[in-house]
Amino acid sequence: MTAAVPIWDMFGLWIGAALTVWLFSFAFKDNALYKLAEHLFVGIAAAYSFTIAIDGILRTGIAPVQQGNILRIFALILGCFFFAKYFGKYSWIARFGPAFVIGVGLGISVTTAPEGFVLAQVKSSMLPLWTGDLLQSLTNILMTFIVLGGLTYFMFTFVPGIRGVTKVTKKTPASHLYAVLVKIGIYGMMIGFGALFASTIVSRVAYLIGRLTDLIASPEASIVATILVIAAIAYAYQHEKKTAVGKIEQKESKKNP
Amino acid sequence: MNSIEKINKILSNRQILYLLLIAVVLGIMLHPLGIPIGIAGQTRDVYNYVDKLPQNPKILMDVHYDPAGATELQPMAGAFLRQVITKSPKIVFFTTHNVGPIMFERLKGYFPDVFSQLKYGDDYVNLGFLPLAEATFASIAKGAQEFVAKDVYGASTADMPIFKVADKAADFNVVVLITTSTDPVEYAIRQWYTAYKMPLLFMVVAVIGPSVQPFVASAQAVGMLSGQNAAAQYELLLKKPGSAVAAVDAQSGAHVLIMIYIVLGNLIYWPMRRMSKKAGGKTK
Repeated sequence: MTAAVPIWDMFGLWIGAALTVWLFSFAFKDNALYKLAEHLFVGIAAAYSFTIAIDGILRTGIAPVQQGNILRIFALILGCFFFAKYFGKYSWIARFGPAFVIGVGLGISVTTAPEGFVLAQVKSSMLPLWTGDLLQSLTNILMTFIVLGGLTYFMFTFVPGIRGVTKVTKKTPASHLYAVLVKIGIYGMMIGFGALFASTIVSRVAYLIGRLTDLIASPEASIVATILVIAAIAYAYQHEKKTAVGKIEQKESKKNP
Repeated sequence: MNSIEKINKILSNRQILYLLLIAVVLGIMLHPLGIPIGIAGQTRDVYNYVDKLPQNPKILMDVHYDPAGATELQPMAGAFLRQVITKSPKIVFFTTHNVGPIMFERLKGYFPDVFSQLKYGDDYVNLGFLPLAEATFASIAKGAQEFVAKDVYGASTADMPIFKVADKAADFNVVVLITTSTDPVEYAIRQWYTAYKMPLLFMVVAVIGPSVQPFVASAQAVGMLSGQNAAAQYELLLKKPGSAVAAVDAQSGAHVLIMIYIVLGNLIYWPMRRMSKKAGGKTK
């Protein structure tokens, strides 16, 4: 015997299952239940974001001031400046908030970005071409050539006459090497994009599995929601047919009054 | 319309693909195939790293995911917590995703065996939603308690014993980012690894796995778990199969269907192109 599920939990499961089925129904045809689910989502998301924002201000802005961290007052004042845009004459004050946010963001990232994003990546790209292990060595060689090829592909000015910048008058060893590296770069990137696309499929299928797991948890709700959505899609088809027929009749009556 | 065109029409039909996908996933979920799951080296590295953490490790965890990402990330987070709970950890949770507070409560609900062993305020705390900004990451590293005066439930953080041992960057043994986005990964690399050399462990959805991999390859992170497959492997390493192991079969089934579609699509493309060239038109 299964344990009794509290009434509100059961209600939540039914609503969740129904909304899932209704949102999936868009893959088959736009219908009234899909629109209902979509509008509910937008409305609830807006209200939720609003409460989360207020909660954040209370916990990280006002509470520290109450505990004696007076400096946070300046942050709160800067935040209030955003509202100045509603007062035409003083709307320019609203720029101080974003300016401060952008300035601080840029300031703290500029100091660490070169080391974290450039130097570390360059260092990790400098691989030994022979390690003693054949497979590892081949991997390293491939990796090195793809890095070089990728960088060469995005080098637009070094070798003239390539890729339609100017006409090639004479092919040189440098331009041949350039062309080979560009090709390696293109294939390397294609493999990279393929991996990204495959990963996207993996994630999207996982999303589907997640939703279907929830639907299996409340089969009665899923079945009822599916029946409702089939009815809504049938109605949408009927409505479309009627309006399409109506439009044709109107056109014909205008042509032949 | 000849047979090639008919097959092309069926393959291009969105409704049929969706129905097949739902049928395959649902069918395998109801009747699992039990396809063996191999353990990847990267997953084993993460498991071994966590296994070697000292007793009473101090952990900082960003629960940056939404209900869509929960299928992949919640089992990973749960498995990690189940492994680390044996070491009596001190965990500071926060989230930079606005749905994060709800996802944290769901995490607690799904793994009551973990959270029942932890005392709120002493062993773990939830700082709630903090804006996803570089300044947030920099401020937490300087002192989480001073930055967030009240936790997600409105209690003052100043009185919580956990912050005596787990507050600043230097206090934490590992930082775990459970995320559906690359933004927190980049902020963590800049503000936590580069500035303080905090050990980072990424748990990410498969779609961003390739983008995060370079940071693991360059040893800027101690490891990464990417996607449902890694979650299933982690559960198997723990010898506690859960929802990820159950879902991997269905994942494989869906992949086979998509592969069949890609192969058939390509097989149909060539005769279609030939027919189109003969007719003097362009290939659709």
